[in-house]
Amino acid sequence: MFFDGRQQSGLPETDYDLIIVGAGPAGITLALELESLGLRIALLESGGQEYDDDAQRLNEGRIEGNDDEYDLQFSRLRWLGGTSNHWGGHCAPLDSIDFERSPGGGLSGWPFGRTELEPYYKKAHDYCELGAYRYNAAELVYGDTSGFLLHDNDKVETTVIRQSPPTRFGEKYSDRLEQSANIHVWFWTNVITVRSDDSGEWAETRTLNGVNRRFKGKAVVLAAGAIENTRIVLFSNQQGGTRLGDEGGLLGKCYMDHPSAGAGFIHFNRPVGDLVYWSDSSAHADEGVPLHFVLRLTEAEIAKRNLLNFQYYLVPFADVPQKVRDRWRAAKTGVTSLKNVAKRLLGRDIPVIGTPRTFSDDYCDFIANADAIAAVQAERIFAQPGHKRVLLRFESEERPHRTNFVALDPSERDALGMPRPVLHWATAEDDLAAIRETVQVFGNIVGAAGIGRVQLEDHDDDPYWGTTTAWHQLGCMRMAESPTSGVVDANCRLHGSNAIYVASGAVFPTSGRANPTLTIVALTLRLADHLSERMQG
Amino acid sequence: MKLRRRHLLLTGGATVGLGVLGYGGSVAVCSTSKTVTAKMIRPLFVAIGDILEPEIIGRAWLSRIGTRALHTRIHQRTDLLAATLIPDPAQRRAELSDVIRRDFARDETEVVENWVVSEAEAIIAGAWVS
Repeated sequence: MFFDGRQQSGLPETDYDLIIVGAGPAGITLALELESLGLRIALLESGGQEYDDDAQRLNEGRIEGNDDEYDLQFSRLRWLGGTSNHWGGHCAPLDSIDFERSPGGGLSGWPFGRTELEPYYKKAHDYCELGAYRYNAAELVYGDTSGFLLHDNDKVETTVIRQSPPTRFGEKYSDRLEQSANIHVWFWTNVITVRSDDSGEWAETRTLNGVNRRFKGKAVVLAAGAIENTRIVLFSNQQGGTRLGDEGGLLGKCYMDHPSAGAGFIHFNRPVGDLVYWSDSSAHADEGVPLHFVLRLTEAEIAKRNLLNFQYYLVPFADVPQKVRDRWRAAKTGVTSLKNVAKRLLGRDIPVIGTPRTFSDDYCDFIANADAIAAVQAERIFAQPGHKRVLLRFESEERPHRTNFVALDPSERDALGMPRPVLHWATAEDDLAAIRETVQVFGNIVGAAGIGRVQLEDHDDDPYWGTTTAWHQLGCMRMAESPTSGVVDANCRLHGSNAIYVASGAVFPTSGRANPTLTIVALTLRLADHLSERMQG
Repeated sequence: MKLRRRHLLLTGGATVGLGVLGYGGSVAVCSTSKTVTAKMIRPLFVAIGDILEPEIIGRAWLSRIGTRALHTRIHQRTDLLAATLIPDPAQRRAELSDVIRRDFARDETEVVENWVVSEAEAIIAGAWVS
């Protein structure tokens, strides 16, 4: 059922079994998963059913460090469906190695192995509309690996990323949420603070028109994304004089993203034809789910060299001189004019775009560009097909560093009176060095295979090595068994609380290379099992 | 003692002569050694066509390590020296291609001007531009 939290009256009691903060992929998944238990669930959403300027402005914040092409206001979205409303849809599970090794720097890794998440990954496929849980690249091309650049071996392998439609969780699950008798979606309802005491778990809320409410539950789940979850707990601690999740001084620390940029180029010895990696390759799908293929080092090789986990997208790259581009454009104009001449002769309609054209306009354009048409056709006949150069675009793990963190802005507050967040984030030098090393390792593999050479992107060229980001906001509430090593425990319960939980990429102790949404949904499903036992027990 | 003009001329002449001899001798010895090395490695240049941007790589690598180190590296690479003895250029080129691939497989590579090159490639390109 849907409610408008801005109304002063006529709304249900705010005493629930479960309070979920944020109606994005995690919040919606959790609510739907627990619906069948008959629990009374409040799903608190900051925005409405559509985009709203005033709600979105609550996301404003400051970035210290990597602020190129990044902003806090629009990297996250505040309406039903949350950030899935601009999600790209790439999905893959984390790799075993991500769970097995600790990140160094005195920090712990995941408190469980990948097998723990396997059943939840499978189930998460349904929520994200991903078809079968299959990621073996060779199996997905039915053993025909002729489209692989390199045969899988002990150093390198081709792997798969599955493409969600992408699922817009708001649109997709809106009807179910609205029709549900025991899920109450409270729109325009912003959580300011949370509290845990002997009487229960509490969430204080405020709307932009000034309506304050206090929600009480047997459990509260923060599912508002890494930065907002962190902000809520930091502000709760500041207001209440508590240290929820902060016994080890790690609340807000170890923010991570997936740095992404051009790592280098492969220059092939001879043109390479159609490989599975080209993004315009349309033939690859599994049960209707499109597949993307990427190259990566094997886990054994990554472990041996202590490198970051990463993946390479291969992007065909053309250096076409302006003269050639002009010729292509001229040829296109000439061909269009020729078609128009033919249509006129056959008495067919010609759509008018801009100024109406006459027969002589088209005829003369065709004549003027006839040489370009001939030249381009000759190029097509005599040129060798395929690509001589591809860009290696990496998406890499980022190690957790305490120096990358989210804090409360001491001077700026939002319209609700909450301190705005400040994100301190800079890609560490040792991470960049590790990324460069992976390119050299990859260059060695390409050279040994005798297919070409690898040229690194210019390190001093900021557009590449300044690194862009995938807008994957992770960390800040890292998971660890011990309250001094992390912010939440292995069940995602905030250390120091009775039953305040976190369902978000915030809990990732390490980021791996995979796009995180699938893992966030899988962790949420695992949390749903835990809450189900707890509520029924 | 009175310095005679003849003594002065003799001493000056001897000094200049010794200098010329020393410098000339050194140049001769060094150029002979360089020539010997250059002659020895010339057969490697059959692989130049297989190296991308050999001039850029050769100059950058040479300026990084210096000519002396280049000669040392050449003499340390018995596989390269063995390849120089293959009389047939096509066979020699194929052998060098294998040597280069083995370098890559053993991670014996360097990054020169942003190119990931095998040590053998760097040596050949360096020798080619020297």
